Amino acid sequence: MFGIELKSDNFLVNEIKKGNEKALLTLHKQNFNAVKKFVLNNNGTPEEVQEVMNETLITVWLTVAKADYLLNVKLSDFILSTAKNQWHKQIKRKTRFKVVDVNPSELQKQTDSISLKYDLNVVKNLLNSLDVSSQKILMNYYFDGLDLTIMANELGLDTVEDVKAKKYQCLKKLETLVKEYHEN
Amino acid sequence: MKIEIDRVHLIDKFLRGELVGASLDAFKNKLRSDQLLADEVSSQRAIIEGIKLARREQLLLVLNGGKLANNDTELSPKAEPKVEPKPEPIQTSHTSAVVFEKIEVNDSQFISETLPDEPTTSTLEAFEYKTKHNLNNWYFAAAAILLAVFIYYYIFGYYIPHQQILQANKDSIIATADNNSAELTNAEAQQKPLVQNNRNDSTLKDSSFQRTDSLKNTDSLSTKNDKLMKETRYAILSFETLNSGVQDNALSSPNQNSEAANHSKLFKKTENSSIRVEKWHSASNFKGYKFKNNTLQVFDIPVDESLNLKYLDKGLFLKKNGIYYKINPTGQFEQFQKETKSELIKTLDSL
Repeated sequence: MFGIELKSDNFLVNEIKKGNEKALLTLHKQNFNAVKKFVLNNNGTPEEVQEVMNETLITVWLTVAKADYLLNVKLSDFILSTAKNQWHKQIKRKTRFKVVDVNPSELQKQTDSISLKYDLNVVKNLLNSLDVSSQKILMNYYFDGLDLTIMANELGLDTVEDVKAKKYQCLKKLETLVKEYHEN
Repeated sequence: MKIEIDRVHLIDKFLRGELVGASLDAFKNKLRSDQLLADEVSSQRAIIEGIKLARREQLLLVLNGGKLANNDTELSPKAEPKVEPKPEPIQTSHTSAVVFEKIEVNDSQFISETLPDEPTTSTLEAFEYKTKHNLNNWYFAAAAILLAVFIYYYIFGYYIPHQQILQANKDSIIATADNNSAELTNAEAQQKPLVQNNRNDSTLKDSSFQRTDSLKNTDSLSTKNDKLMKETRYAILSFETLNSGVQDNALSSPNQNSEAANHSKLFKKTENSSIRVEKWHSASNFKGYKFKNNTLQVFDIPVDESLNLKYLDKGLFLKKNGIYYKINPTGQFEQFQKETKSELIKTLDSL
């Protein structure tokens, strides 16, 4: 009770909506034991515990960060139920696996079929080359799905239109880098 | 510029699935007809997927004990982006591989390649955040301890001693009341004939009633004692009635002619004695006396009121307001007993 910091659900939700990763760490610390117990009791391994926990927290992060998310259940319950779903998905995925002898060229074809216009790793690395604020804007908008109003407050911008303009500039900058890379 | 921004934002909405209804249909129609827009959408989709991948890896890095994204300082130089030359082909050395039966786009494929096998060393900041103490809880703990100390001192330093004092006071009051009631009971027992004769009836009833009340309300009673108002020593004339022989001799005396002479012959003045008379104010409004060892205690008689005391045949009589009362030397509290014998009253008056 008087030891490690325990944050309230409302506080954590607000921090997630602002895109603060520290909230994710707190959630991890508060709920790891419950998830670990569940996975290990269901014939999971310690490696799978970490995997399930990570997937769970990212799912929770994406759900909670949305502007229309309302806290109507305890976060710990939400995380545990999400972890159960993740674990069941993982079990299903395991059952779908089969070991086959495969020709590497065929595998290359399959990976090409799911590839996009640009290589994702290239885009990722070029994104990392941008300045921190640009990275933050793009990640918060496209991955976290943060509310534009909250983003405006966090970035110190006046209106939502300013956020859109800023996001546009960052995206175009990244797009230019990617195009230049692929042209070369 | 504004049009461009809106156009990009519209594509974002389409890619995020936020377009619905007519606007979605209109966008799809435009997408079919406008090749430039289609290229732009596919380009933007790839970039967005790359952004998502980067963010996902960043979050996983945070979860695995890596740096926090907000505090990243080790970024590649802007002018020289560190970019892989080309996507590396999948290793061909494996003779077998694990594939999906139903192939789906799954980001974890990419993540598993880039994530380290073991958690990276936590930065000091992340560690400090994890183990940060919640001072609010310590404040609550301090307040709870102070409250406990206060309650402890209140109970053992004030409440229990106070209750003990109250109990001791109560016991002393009850003991006093018991003594008084015992004395009063004796007095009542001796006053029964008087009560039956309706003499001083109201006084007795009032007194006993007040005593009973005082016993019932011992909790609210403060200790009150009887108070000595005045102490006086009285010289008393003592008379004795002569016996019949003496009377006969007296009657046979030739000098005796008048009634006064008869009286002088009937009663003989024996000796002058003195008693101490104490006038008390009774705390319980007791009206009566107590006579013992040549000391007469009278209760609730005004201090200024003069008393007349006479001995007749070794019996003490008190005259108050023209009325004689017989004083019994019982040593107990007694009610005033009015003397009604007219002959005796006349005799006492004549002495």
